[in-house]
Amino acid sequence: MIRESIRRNLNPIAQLGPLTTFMIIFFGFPILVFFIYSFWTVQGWTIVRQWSLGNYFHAVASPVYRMLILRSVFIGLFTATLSVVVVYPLAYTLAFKIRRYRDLILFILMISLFSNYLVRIYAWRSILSTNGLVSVILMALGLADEPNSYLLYDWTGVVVTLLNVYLPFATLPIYSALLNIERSLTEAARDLGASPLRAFYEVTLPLSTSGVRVAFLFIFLLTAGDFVTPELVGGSGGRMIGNAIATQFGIVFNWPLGSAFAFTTILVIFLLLVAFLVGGRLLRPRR
Amino acid sequence: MAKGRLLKLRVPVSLPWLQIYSALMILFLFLPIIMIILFSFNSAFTGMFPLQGFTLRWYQEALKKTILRVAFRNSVYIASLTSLLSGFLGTMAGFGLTRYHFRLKGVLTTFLTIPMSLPTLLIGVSLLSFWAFLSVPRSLNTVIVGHAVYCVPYVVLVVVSRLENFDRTIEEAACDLGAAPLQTFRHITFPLIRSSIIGAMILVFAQSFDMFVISFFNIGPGSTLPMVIWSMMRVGISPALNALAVLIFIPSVTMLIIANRFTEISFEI
Repeated sequence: MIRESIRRNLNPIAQLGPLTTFMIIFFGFPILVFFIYSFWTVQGWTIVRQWSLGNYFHAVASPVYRMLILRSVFIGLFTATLSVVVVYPLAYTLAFKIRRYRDLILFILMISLFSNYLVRIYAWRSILSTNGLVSVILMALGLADEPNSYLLYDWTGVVVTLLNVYLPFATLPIYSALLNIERSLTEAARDLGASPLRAFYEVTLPLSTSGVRVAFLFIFLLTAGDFVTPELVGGSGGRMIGNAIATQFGIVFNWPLGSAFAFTTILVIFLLLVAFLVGGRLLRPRR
Repeated sequence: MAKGRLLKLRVPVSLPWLQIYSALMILFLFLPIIMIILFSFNSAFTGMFPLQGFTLRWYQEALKKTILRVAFRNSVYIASLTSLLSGFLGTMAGFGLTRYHFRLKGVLTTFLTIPMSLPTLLIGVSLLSFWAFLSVPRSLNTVIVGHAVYCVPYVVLVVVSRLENFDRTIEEAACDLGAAPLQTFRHITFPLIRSSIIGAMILVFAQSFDMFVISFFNIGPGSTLPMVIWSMMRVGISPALNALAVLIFIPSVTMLIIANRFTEISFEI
């Protein structure tokens, strides 16, 4: 009896223990250590374990870094909003309008998710370059007079590239939220005389907000912290805080400052999300 | 259903706008890949229009680079061990998360799956700080740990979603017929979920093989394939790079096709 109950209670620990330990050691602790670094300083080429808030002051007071942080948060918000809007009709079509090719299209989404992302970003550099695809199309449409690298080395190019790279990440959560909606609910709305548009607006859209929220959050976090895209297509006008962090951890060797950049950005993002949450609560109409 | 069709007839027939829009989105999604393939066969040196003519020269040049061989071997080594480690840890945790109920289960699930939704820069750089803090020399093995942190959530999610659709009466039947728990697992449960685990592990392999940022910060001496590609990209636009990109695109897609045979890939987050 006792042995049986011990074995029962040991099983979940035996099964969840290894991964939980692994994650605490190699994910939890590292984030903690990374955070602690932000309070230390660099003298010469060594990190001195001397506590100070100097790095944070530097991150906030320096106009360059403050701008990079704000720009990254802005690019993240903008790309996330754009992704959700642009992807919603695609997810909707996948969930409700296409039967035959649905699996194929989902597989195509997965292929682009799993094809090397460095390569896809690199391709955008050529698409946006002088005589690249964008320039050629703009000229053909009469929107541009001469070949030029439109959008490249600017934040707009970064947004287009990020939108493209993270598109499958936005599609899948919205798609699966739409798929979980009971068809009978929309049918009921239609039976009660709602127009298709009204049924969508009053039934389908509110029921899919959970997926939209996950997609938004996903894209926001991933794009605000990207550093490969701005490095390859951003130029100086599209530099983001990720580049500054990578530089501090690379050639500059000021890890504490890089860490302070990261945690200042995380704090800004956190405050913004809290503001969204509170704002959303206050704005929600009571029914 | 019949009703839906009737209602549709009342709407004036127009173009299937949603389908057209979706097709354009898929085209947009694939634009970079199409361009890379196109320019890898283009004889001009720069990636610009108009196209010049067909050539295989860039493929020959890409294959000639000797650093690639070492980098390729490192990438395969890292991806294999990442896949094994994630497969083992993720499967066990997947069982624990579906078969038991306990307090704070939601919190634990979030903790174990959150790395996949965080920027790889954060994971890469914090792990780098961790190694430095403990004076652990960086190597291919420190990269494997980083990749596993990022990839394990995929395995956990696949195993959890498989086990949630698992008919437990089969296990009960085995138990009633006198099978010990371990026997039940070995002969009943595992064979039924094996293909999902293999599918998830292949996905992890493909992920790890393509991973750049975490490798970049956690590798000591040595290089992986994406890192070589990165250093080539920094130098400028090179057509050999397009050819190389197509070449490393092939194993990823092949693995995805194989993984798709083993398991229904879904990411219900």
